[in-house]
Amino acid sequence: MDLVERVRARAELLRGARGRAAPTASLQILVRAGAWSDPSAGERLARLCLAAAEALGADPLFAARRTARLRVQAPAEPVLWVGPDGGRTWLRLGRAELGAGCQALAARLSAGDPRAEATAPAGLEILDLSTLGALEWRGALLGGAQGRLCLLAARPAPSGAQEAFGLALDFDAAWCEAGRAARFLAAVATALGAERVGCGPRS
Amino acid sequence: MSPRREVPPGLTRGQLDGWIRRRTAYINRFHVAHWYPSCCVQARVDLTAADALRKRLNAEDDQPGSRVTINHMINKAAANALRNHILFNGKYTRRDSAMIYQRVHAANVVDTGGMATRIVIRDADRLSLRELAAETHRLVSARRLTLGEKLDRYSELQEKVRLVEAMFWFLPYSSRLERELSHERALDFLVENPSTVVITNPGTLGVQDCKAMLFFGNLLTCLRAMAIEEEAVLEDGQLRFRRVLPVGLDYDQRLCDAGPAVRLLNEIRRNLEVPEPYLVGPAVEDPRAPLAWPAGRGGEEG
Amino acid sequence: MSRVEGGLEGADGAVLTRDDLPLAERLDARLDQVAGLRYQHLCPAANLHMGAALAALERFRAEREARTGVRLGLTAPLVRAAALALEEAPLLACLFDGRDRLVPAEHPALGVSVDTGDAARCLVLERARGLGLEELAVRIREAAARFRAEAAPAFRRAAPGAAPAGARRRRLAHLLAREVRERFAYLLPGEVERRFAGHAARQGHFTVHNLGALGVDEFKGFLRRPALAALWALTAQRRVVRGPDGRYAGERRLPLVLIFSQDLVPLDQACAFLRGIVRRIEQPVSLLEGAP
Repeated sequence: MDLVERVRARAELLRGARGRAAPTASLQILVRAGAWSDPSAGERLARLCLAAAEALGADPLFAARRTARLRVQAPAEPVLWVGPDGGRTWLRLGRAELGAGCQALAARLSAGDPRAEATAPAGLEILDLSTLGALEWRGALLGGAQGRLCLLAARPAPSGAQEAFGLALDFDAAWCEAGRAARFLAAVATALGAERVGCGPRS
Repeated sequence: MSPRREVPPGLTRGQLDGWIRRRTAYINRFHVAHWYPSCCVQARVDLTAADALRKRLNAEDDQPGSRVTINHMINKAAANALRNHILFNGKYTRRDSAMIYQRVHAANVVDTGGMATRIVIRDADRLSLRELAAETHRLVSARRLTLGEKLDRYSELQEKVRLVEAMFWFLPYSSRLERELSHERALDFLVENPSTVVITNPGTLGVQDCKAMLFFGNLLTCLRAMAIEEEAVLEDGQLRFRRVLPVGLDYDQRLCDAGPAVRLLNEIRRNLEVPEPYLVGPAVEDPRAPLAWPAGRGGEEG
Repeated sequence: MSRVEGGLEGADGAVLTRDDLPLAERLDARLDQVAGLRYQHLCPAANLHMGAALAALERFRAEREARTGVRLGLTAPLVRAAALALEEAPLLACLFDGRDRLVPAEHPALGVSVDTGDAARCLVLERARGLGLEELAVRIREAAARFRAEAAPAFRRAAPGAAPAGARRRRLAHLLAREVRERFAYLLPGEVERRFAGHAARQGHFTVHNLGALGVDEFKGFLRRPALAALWALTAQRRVVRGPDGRYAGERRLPLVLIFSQDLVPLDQACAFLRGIVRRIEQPVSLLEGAP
């Protein structure tokens, strides 16, 4: 699928939904590298997917989709819409895929479909920007999506401390408070088993 | 994950439906007609001097009702800086109009675990740091007590407003236009009106970075304080760590370009990094500041 | 209308109008200028950050400045890197026509935003790909000096005289006309296209902003249609890194932010473009590729 076709497909998708981008806000936390991030990039993303699915079990709002101005519908079970390698390919992960274990999931992630980009279903979007060197991210949520989780590149730490990865969450400010989004991010970090950087009390 | 920050249990599916129903009352605030092209500039503030000052003040007076925290210092630094950059101290009155106020009333967002609410500290630039701390403690405890009741009343009111909305089409065009364009009418009944600037603190939730469009009612400017970080610096070849606070300033890019916004941010940073002359007492007015309130006009300055 | 719009309210509640205050006048002029910015001009903007190590560029700059005698600064290499990277990612130099078409630019013009103390102005460099580093540096410096000289003087704080009779009524009429005009203008067919038409001449196909001199550590912004992307460089940061010999050293890095229209630009294209700029800044010899 060449670039012209891709851009056209996106424009087609969005023509019907022009001006429907959600009022998006973004939060970011830093988590230390560790056992969860040591394996390959594919397995790291697979672990993040499993952690996100676990966090969604406690707060399904971020996998929901806005179906009308005053209506949001959450899927009955955690659904992820994953874009490895900066969203070059996309694939949908449901209960069956997520239950297959980390290794199988990592293998599956490498077989995404570039054509799937224009057909986003309901679900939490997960973008892997860590392989592309992006240090920060803020995106807009399109087509009624309620959440997008981004894994950012690691930033080196001095003094022999472990490097830290950024985790960014785009959420729809109309339906969700920043406090709730921050708690969701914290739940993902906990499920991941990663230590957070700099979240001591203020004073 | 720090053991001090436990994640409260999330919502089950049944509770989610309740959340969505309650949240619906807020949706009008986020209508596309109220979106602004907001930009955010961010600076990292060295907290060494502010920490020392806070410890000294709290050693002098350790009453819980007047303890000074970094939050209070951020509020004070922002209010003092606004005195010399008054262009950022205002509200939208219509879609393309704004009103700038001489008095600085700083709103502070309080996270209650569900809906965020805020308290307003009047004339924050004229209070001393100690007075501002005491006032904040008093307002926060009062707000926590009355919030639940207010939220319920607000949700009920919105239910009624939705029914009435259908009838607006029978009003003359000018009245509809007025209603649609007016932020004071369309936005947030919960907000106490006097605030002229809003200061939020997602850092207390452990957030390192936070960016959003300007949705804070009808205000022109929002200041965000993020989680404090440890930053490595080299001093004479030795590795040292210092505490830095990332502070972000959201502004409407239609009203000003990055230059004036960054100058305001730099003054906030200066107030926090050199706190003794600029932070402890009332605001120090700079007679040469180009964006300050005009000399000799209005209020007590007249 | 019950209130004077674009005014200032004093501590005593008295509303001052633009007729007697330069501050209100400035605010109003700005609001007039942007009244036409409706949501048709806003796009879902995504912000992508990367950092580039500056050590190699600083060495390269010092050598070249000693040889040619022209001070290069940071903006000129940045603009050159953007011009070269745009060749690999021509999508980012396209403009949106207001309906549903992207118009590619055969010879992209680059805009360079200059802070004049009050507002920013834009220098447009036609056929930027064909300009060498020194020429870029000279043209940017000259334009910055010119813009700053032309900028309106910082407004006066002195209290001016009394407002002329009837000023308030004229002001209200002006505001009402503005509201009505801007509200209905977009109902006319082709209005959006008309407003987008002069963009390349005003801002270039792609705009580079350098906030380095102002002291900004981070920036997130929005993008105004019809542009598809814009680049922002922030203040260089000093980071401590541990060398191979185990000793600590300071390293300067330049934070770069690419803001792009998320609905029309695929993310991997944006990443590739930004990485192209980072690569050129870290290997500055590549800035001389195809130089005149």
